[in-house]
Amino acid sequence: MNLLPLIVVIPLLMAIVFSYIYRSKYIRLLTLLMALVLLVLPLLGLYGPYFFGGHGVVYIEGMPFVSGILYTLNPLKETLIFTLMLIGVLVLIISTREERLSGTFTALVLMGLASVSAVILTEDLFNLYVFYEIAAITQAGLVILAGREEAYRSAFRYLLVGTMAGSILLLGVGLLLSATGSLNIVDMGRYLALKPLTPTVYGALLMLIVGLAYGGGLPPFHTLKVDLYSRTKPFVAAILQTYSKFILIALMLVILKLFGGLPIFNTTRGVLIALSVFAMVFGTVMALLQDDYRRLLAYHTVSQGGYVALGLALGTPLGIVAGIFHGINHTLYKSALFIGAHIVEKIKSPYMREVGGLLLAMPTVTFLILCAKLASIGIPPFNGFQSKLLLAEAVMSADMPELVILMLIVSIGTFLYMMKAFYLIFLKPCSEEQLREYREVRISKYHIFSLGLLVLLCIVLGLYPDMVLDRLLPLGEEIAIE
Amino acid sequence: MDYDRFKREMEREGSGDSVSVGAGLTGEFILYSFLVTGLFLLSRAFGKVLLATVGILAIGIGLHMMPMVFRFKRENSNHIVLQLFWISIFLGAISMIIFIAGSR
Repeated sequence: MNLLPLIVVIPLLMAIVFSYIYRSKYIRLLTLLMALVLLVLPLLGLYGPYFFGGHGVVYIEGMPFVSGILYTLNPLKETLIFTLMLIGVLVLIISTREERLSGTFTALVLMGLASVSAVILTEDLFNLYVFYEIAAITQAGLVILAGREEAYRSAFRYLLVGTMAGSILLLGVGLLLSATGSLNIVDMGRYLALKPLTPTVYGALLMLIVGLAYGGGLPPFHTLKVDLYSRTKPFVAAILQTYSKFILIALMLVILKLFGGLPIFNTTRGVLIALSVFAMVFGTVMALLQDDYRRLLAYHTVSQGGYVALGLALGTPLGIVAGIFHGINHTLYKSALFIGAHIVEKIKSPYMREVGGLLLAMPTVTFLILCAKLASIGIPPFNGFQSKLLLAEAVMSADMPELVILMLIVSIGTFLYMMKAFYLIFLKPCSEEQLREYREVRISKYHIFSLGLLVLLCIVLGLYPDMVLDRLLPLGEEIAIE
Repeated sequence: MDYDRFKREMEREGSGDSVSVGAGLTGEFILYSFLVTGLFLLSRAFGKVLLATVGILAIGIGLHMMPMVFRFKRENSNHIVLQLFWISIFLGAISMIIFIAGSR
């Protein structure tokens, strides 16, 4: 029996339950139990299509059309959902060690997990839009829970611009519906490939790119995302950046499926590559100028999002696989870095100049954070190296050596700001008094476990990348443009 | 652009120590490299003399404007007016590109 919808339905239902019992004294225990359930969810679905409400394929003039909402599961989607749930589980586990945990937090994380899972699974464009909006609201809600004035302001700004970007995306969906008469992505793609293109279709493409840039945190929307990540607690930013990264991947795949076979895609590809390169460069340059560790990591997220988008924008099988693989790797090492930043903030301060000498107070955590940093820079034997190498290969085979040079320059910048942060936080000499102060702060074993697990995964994927690549390659070849 | 001038600018921004100045200078060089490699790519893709001329002009303007990184930082601030300005520029630019490409 195919229980695929439960991947979305269970977290959504539990989100409602948790928002009712938000003051319960058992909230920590229930959150831990929920975290365990989430780990099982990706195993519930069977590969293949799932038609909602007894709908299925209907034939109109000999052409197959899907009526109703369709979800599909394949190895690629399963890997994405497993990674998403894993980060969600770790964030929920860490949250049980926070002083003020309410059911509202758990509810919002669950709602985010459900909506991003739906965005990944669905083959229906309107369904995708609905969950895309829920994910945006959830992200703003999680930031508001930080309870600080600047957090409220960032969330409000994000929603304000989101109202505009979401409406534009919805209009794009509407234009595509009017042009093709369907909401199913595969049907739409097939129809667009057969019929002559009209300004309505160009308009829809334009609007989808706007939705992609907002949801995935590409320029010019990157400053909004940076604000979101840096105004909330860093361990919450770990799940926020995972949501954004997977929405970026899902929307890029939708654009490839819809417009990949059309003559206009060559220009679109140029626009998408330009956006990706802007994200890479802008994120790195801005990260170099930061004193706040949270903002540095937030800009790094934007920069790495550029790498993911670049691979997918190439549209080649290798590019698509490399982009998705980098997205998965990025969520792993970046979540480790955000959890590390949460520990640093708990001990002293998020401002790098106010810390220093943490190596002596917590050598294990320092080592784990160093590993995550090396993974993010792209140094072997970590996962970041494998995906960046694959991306460089993909870009070279697409005949764009200039972009490889730029990727290398950006990696040098990444190395510099990551090492700058590492020196200022962990290596810079500090006074005995400050060291005593550090040692008084107790770090929960849950934090260290989560950090350790993520770093372990970074090493495992660095040594055995085929574990994931074998699952992505067939789908990469299927989606790639000719 | 000399190091001392850059350091003075960084001090004005509130972070004039050597670590920050080094990081800022790297940012400056990354921006400049982006400009140069981007223009190389575009010139190769379109192969037009005009593009190469405009590219050299842009590099010259870039050199003249150095340090660019402080202006860049101001434009990347989280001020809503600036954000909305760049979003409108983005919308205008991609509309133009896609519709010109579509009408060819």
